[in-house]
Amino acid sequence: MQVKALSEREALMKRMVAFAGLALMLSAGCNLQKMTGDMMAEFAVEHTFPYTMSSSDVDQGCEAGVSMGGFLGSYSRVETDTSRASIVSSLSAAMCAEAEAFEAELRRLRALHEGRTGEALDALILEKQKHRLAAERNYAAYLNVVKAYGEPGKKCPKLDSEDYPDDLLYLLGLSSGMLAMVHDRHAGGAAGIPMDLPPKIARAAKCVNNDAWWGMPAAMKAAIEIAIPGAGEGGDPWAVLKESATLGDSKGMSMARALLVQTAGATGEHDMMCAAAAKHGELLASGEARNSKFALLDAYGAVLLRHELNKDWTKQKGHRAPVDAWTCVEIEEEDEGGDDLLDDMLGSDPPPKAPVEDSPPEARPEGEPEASESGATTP
Amino acid sequence: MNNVSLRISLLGLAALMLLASSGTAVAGEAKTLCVFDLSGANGDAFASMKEYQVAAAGWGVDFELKPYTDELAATEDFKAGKCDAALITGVRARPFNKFTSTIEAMGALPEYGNLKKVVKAFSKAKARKLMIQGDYEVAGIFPLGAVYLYVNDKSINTKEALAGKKIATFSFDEAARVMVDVAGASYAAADISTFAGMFNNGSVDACYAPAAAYGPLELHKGLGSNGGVIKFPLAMLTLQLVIRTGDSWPEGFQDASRAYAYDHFNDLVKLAKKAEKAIPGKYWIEIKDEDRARYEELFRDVRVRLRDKEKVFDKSMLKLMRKIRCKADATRAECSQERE
Repeated sequence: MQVKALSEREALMKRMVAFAGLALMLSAGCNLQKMTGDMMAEFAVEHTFPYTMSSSDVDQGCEAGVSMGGFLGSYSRVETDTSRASIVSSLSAAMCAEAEAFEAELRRLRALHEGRTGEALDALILEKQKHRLAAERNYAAYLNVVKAYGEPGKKCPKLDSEDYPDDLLYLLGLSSGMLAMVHDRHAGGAAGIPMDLPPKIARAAKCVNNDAWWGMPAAMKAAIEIAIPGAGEGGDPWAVLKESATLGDSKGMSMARALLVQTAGATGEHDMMCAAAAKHGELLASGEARNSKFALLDAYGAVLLRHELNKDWTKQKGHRAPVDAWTCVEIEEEDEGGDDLLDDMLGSDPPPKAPVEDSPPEARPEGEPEASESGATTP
Repeated sequence: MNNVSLRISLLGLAALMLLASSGTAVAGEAKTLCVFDLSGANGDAFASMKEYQVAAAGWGVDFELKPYTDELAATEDFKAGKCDAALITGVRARPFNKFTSTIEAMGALPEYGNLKKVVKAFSKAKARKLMIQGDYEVAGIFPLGAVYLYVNDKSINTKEALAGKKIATFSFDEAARVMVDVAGASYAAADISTFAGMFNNGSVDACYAPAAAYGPLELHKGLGSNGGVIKFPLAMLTLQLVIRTGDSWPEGFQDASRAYAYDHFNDLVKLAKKAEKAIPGKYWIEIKDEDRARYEELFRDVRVRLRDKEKVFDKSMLKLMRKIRCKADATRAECSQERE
């Protein structure tokens, strides 16, 4: 009887312990998700981001943004701060939309070149749709900057220089804001991006070390000042843009030069655009080392730069720039005539001199047959 | 060549022609259209011209679009023959067509609907002769948005309050200079790159600009806590497409171009209205009816002077716009007078 009572008590104790353990596990489940999210967000910034940046595969980089963006962002539902990680995933995803907008633009230009208006109109519609998508994705990146670092353009945020991506995350987020505006204008304002971003971004760009980040902050500020007359603080923004491009070149990074090429193209400075693009080609041909740590950004800058050339070639030749060409189409100068300008001064050409008949024949090498008048040799 | 060979050759030629026409249309006449847009190829005006470019291809013109951020440069290049067509504001288009340029007369068109009526009238084939002045023709008028007066003090909301106030005024715009003078205000020379800075740093009491300038130029800084935007369009800014009559253009191009401008009027006004909505409500200064009437009288005085003395405005165009205003609201005081 006593043994039976002890077994029952043991079983009850076991059941109570099991129940307490289950309750503990269930309550820990909510924290586990946040813990996982925090870990994923931190991993994305500290490892995924640098790893992706070291590859020059822009297509893969943008696809990673499209596919990972939703997954990373979902952790915000369990109170993980995903803002820093989402800056990169959003702007990467924007690169994909931008690439599609670029292709649609080239298709439109090609169709116009060939007189196919239906095709051109269809391409224009798609172009605007993709620009809108690029604007929205870029703006999402910018809004994550606001969340992570405060609204740009007021005071500089505290950027943790020990945690190296902070400066760059901030800078890339600012550039996303600028791109959001540009893409929205190309979309006819369909994305509704606020128009007051540029001056804020221009001021905020000063918070990032220009030399450390390849001249990109100063280039962005200068590009904005060129686009919005009176928005700057004086000085020569074109000179700043060119100096920034040169600084970027010295660090094997094309982003500032890409901004120079884009801004020149957008403002009708065709010769400047062509010269700036050609310089990039010269640098590549020289074999000088490119920035390997941020190869993705260097490759992306080259994509932006190349698109300007592609447009130039497509408008004039009906196809994009050849694979290794970094120059604009060379326009042949029209023949302006004037070949006969000097005729009155110089008169017509004198008649050819008659052969001298009494000159002795030239000595022939031994064995060479005698030539006839017609030039044919006689054996 | 014998008959069989000839037939084969002709068949082959016909087949080639058929292939060519099925896949590729013949490109139109190549022309350059110089587009003024403050933001160059990234701006709204340039973006809208991309659609125009596609439409023009259907009319037989293959436009190359060239962006200009400097309107004077665009105008000079057009005059010099570097552009076959130019898209410039009505003020700059004055030397090419005084009639169409007069659309931008101050206070002449208080609502977008009024401007639309004008553009509609000009889109008809019978209006063509009015679009031609000398060697030039206006082949389209596109809305750019209403111009508003930004003031650093909300009390500057009447004609009388303007007296003595400093207004940033574009030097190249004779009509604006006269307006400031007649209003009794003080003229402060400015251009597109300086006017916002002058307003924002307090050098002037007021400036004028379309709503699209508010965000990018941070005009809220000049408005501060006491300022506002007078909810009364000073003028309707337009972009006018100017071509040379002596150049060769496909048959019907000009009429098609003007009809296009009318068909797309609403799309462009939408952008302007979007920008107006972006100005916070607290800044808009509503004008009382009696003050509105005095503003309108001021504007009319200026228009009449610019018509008769400086000869800047066209008499017929002013008359047309008065007709439109009075048709919209016959109770206006001017409708019982014949000053325009």
